[in-house]
Amino acid sequence: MSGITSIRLRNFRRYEDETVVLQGGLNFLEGENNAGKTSVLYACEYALFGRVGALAPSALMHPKTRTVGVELCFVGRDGQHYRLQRIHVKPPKSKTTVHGHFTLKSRAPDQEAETYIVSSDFDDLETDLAAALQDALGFTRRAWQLAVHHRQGKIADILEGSTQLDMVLGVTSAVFVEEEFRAMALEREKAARDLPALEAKLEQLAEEREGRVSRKAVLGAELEAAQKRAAEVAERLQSLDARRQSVEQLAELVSAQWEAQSETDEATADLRRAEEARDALGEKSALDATVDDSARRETALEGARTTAQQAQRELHDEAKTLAAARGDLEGRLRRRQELEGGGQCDHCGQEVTAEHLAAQIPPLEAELTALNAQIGEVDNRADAAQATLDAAEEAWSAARLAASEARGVAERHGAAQETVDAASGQVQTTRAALEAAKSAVIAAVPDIDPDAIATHLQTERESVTADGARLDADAEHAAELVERISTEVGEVDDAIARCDRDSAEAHTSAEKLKSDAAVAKRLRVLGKGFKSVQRDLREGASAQMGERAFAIHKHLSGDDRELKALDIDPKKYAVLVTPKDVGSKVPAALYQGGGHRLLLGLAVKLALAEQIGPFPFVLLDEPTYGLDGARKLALLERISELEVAGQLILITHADLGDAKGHRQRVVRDGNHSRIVGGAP
Amino acid sequence: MDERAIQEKLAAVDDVAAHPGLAELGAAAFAYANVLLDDDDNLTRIGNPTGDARAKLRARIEELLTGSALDGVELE
Repeated sequence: MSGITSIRLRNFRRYEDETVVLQGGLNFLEGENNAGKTSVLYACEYALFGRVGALAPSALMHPKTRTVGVELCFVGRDGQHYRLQRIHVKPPKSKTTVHGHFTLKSRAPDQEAETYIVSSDFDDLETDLAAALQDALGFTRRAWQLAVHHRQGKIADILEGSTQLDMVLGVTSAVFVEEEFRAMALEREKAARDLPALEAKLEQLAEEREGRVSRKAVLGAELEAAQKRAAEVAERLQSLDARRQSVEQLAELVSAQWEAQSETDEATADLRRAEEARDALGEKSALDATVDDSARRETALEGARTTAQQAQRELHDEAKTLAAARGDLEGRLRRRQELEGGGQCDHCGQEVTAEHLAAQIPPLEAELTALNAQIGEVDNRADAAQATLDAAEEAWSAARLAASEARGVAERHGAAQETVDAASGQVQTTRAALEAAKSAVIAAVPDIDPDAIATHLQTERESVTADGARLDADAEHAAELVERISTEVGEVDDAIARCDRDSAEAHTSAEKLKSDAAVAKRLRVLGKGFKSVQRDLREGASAQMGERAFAIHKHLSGDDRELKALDIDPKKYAVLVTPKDVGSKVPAALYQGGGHRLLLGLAVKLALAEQIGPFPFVLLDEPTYGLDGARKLALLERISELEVAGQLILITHADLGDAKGHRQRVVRDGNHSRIVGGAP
Repeated sequence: MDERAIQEKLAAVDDVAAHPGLAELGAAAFAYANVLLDDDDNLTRIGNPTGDARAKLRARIEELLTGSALDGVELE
């Protein structure tokens, strides 16, 4: 069995929580008008497509509820059992916003475990669900609208034709993909026009690369030669450095010899000058004798000076004594002269007479004269002694100065001798150093005459300098050459890499363009193929549908006398009938009354369902609307005999009588709709 | 019209049949176009596919080309 097994409606319109259980074959949902029968089919549409026509999910909610949900269980074309659940929830306080969720699961008929196929919880989209449902059921939403769900009162509308058939027959899709294939082919063909230019560029790049590679080979040989030359020059420079070092060592030795010679000469000159200075002071023995003589003379003159000083002191004492005596005498004489007339002596208090006085004064005057003469003599002698002392003082001073000078000369002579001794020692030291330096030079260049060493050294130096300058120039030239060639090699490498890169890019582009061109051809082929498919779909389907609708109509009407033919115009899918009594095609929409048009419409719709199906189920909402009681039952009976789908779900408010099929009744209970199970 | 039927119809076209995998690719693109056209949001008011729908189909075809026998097709 394929088809719907159950439909559970929760808060769907007037249903609180009801489940419709269906079986294979013919199923009836019967009930009075406005009981809620059509809502069951709407529930199917809601579950499958998330909406019912233009109704928003919130409009499907049971009054005073904020959720609506339907669970649709069905068996698909592949025999798998599917469970499709869909709900919409209106968040608290929201008036218009609703959030929808869907889940499609499946299980094998002999298993209980279900597997998720798509779910909004896994971020799957409605398009994913639509694709999955198309796989499972074989129809799209448009097919549902036109060929699966036949709405009440709309069945005969199809007789006028419908461009919607292009959609469900796949013509529109075929046109759509054909246009896209053609546009994509055109884009690729346009791009592929650049291919010849790209291939020419590839050839040009290949030639350029070949030239670069040849040039690199030449540069490689040149670089190798230049590097070899640079290495040779470097080696020779190394040898020259050793030679230069040897010359510099010899130069240092010669310089050291020259320095030792200079120091020796200087020391010898110092010695000579010291000896001359020493000799200028005289012989040491003569100087020693002079010192001794002057010392002795100084000593002698010092004794004479002392004697003269003694004599002078004695004369001075004598002069003092004589001066005291003369004072005393002059006093005695003066007192007698003052008492010339006589009187009392002030000195002794005695009374003296003038005679007495006259007797005493002359002797005293004579004595005074003699004493003055004596004092004069002493003064003369004192003057002589003073002259003697002065001479002794002068002689002693001269002798002392001479002795001092003699000692000074002797001391300078000693110092000069010490200088001579030191200079002599220095001369010996420098001479030893000179000999050592000479020996070192001779040892360094034993083959060279010592006298010619300086010349040899100069020659070597000039030679080394000249060789060095030449080798430096050679090295610089070699380095420049290596650098220049290396730079050019790098440039050539870069150019080769650029060629390779450009070639790779151009090659990739060319390959893509070739691929594009090849793909474009196939896209063109596909476009043409779909052009053919469009014709086939439109014309073939129209012919097949017309033929099949004619057969179904004959079966449903139970009368083959009425129509001679039934055709469908492939341009607009309008239905044309050829009544036997007319004999020519007339539009079915204009043909006879409502009952006939209903039968014709139903036949075309069921033929359409067969054409684009087969579908697991077909829903018919009041297909007998407008027919009289006998015809209704006959039609229902004949519909059940058709095999347009594995399951027919038929809604009717008509009295079914004993029509065969699984029945369920929809009843209205106040504001609620309920499902009441019926007998098959 | 399902994908398999379209594939068969395409395969019946000689030029298409000459290229292996082409009918299968075309049928897959057709199936996707069907899904797109089944949604009114992908149609203009006069019933043509919208630019967005065309872009989606183009992307799907490119995807199919990448993963199909046409990917790495023998160059001519």
